[in-house]
Amino acid sequence: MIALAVLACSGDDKAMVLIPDISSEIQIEDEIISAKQIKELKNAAKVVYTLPSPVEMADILHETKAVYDVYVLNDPDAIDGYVTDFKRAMNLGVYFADLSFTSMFDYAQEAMKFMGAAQAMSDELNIEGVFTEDLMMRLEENMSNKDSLIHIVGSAYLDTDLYLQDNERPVVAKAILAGAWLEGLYIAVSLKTDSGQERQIWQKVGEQKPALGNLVRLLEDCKDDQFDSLLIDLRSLVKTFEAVKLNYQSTKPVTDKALKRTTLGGGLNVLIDENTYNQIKAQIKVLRNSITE
Amino acid sequence: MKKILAILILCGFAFCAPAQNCNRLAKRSVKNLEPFRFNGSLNKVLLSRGESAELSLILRGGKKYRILVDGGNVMGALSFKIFDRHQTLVFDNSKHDMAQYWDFNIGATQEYHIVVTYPISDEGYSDITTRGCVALAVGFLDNNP
Repeated sequence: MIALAVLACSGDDKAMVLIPDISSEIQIEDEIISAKQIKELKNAAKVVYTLPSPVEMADILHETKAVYDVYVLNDPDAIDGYVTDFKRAMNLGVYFADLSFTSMFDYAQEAMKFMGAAQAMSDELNIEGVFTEDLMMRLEENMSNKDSLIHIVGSAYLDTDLYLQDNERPVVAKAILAGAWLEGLYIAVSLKTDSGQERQIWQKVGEQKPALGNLVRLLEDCKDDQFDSLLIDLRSLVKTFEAVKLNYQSTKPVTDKALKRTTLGGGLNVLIDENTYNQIKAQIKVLRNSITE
Repeated sequence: MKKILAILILCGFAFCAPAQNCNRLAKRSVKNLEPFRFNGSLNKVLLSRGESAELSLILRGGKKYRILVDGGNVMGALSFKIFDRHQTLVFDNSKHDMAQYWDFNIGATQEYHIVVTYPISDEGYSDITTRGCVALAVGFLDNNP
């Protein structure tokens, strides 16, 4: 019997349940599961996809050495304009991304403002025990320490995740995830670069093609009509991304047992032209502004 | 001997059953990633013996990653395997003394699939009443800090 965990992401917010499915029974004779068998299993089973977290998105862009402008971020005082839980959740994600970027790029004062905005959104969503006095105090004490700041932001994101899991609120959780990732992409296309470096940004944006596919699948799985409008825009973005070609070159893994380390080599060539990038940029800006307006 | 493999959905942001007792384990797994920087996406799932969970994850080129699984003391050593986007097995911890964490240098940004299994008992049966929480945490560092 195969037990498939399914997250009911509908309005009643039922959490993961185990569904026995005798027809899907798969019996394995050998001790080691081969890649072929796993492939067969994957064809029959649902797989969960992930997205880069806000901290990871900030790190991706920090690598580009691009100039970062705090004015492209959402207004931390816009919180009163978000009156539905769905809108609040999307913008909590946006503020998590803005918080991650300000922390990563050493804008401590701005980070404090976004932490305040995230705290307000979190309170409105009745997410308890995350943005505590203790957390805010630690933030103030570590404002000049970038690594600590990033660690605190990552912890707040994690604790929000754990709280929503425990309280079976997957729609809110997915809205936060979507808002955070889209804000990361929006910041990416809004970065200022020297003319010689702009291709680096194009490539980083192009590399997000699989993540975009993952986001669409995540939200489709949710089957919640609050995501309908967003999904229409995301599918349109997927079509534009089809012009981005990702060419992978794989090499055989090399393992160093003593260091407990494996090197997965290869290369990735991202083919993206200026016209495609500009189309992506325009669509992302419209999409993001529809979240924050 | 017949074995049963069941695939469960790993619980990333928004995907997990309520399991208060998982949280302590999850936080411990994040702490144990040090000195790697937690990537912000925590995954936890309840598994019975013989069951597996699968997660799709994008790892970035030029980074060093630590992938860590933790089932606590009750579950003991867990199996984890990593497949690339072509479904080729690139890592299997059963070939490395069931190491519960492993480090990876990633050459190119690529999507990987991690399959974590709660192995069946030595007696060779899958006991669905033996259930435990598994946390999977991912951390990263610059390859040349």
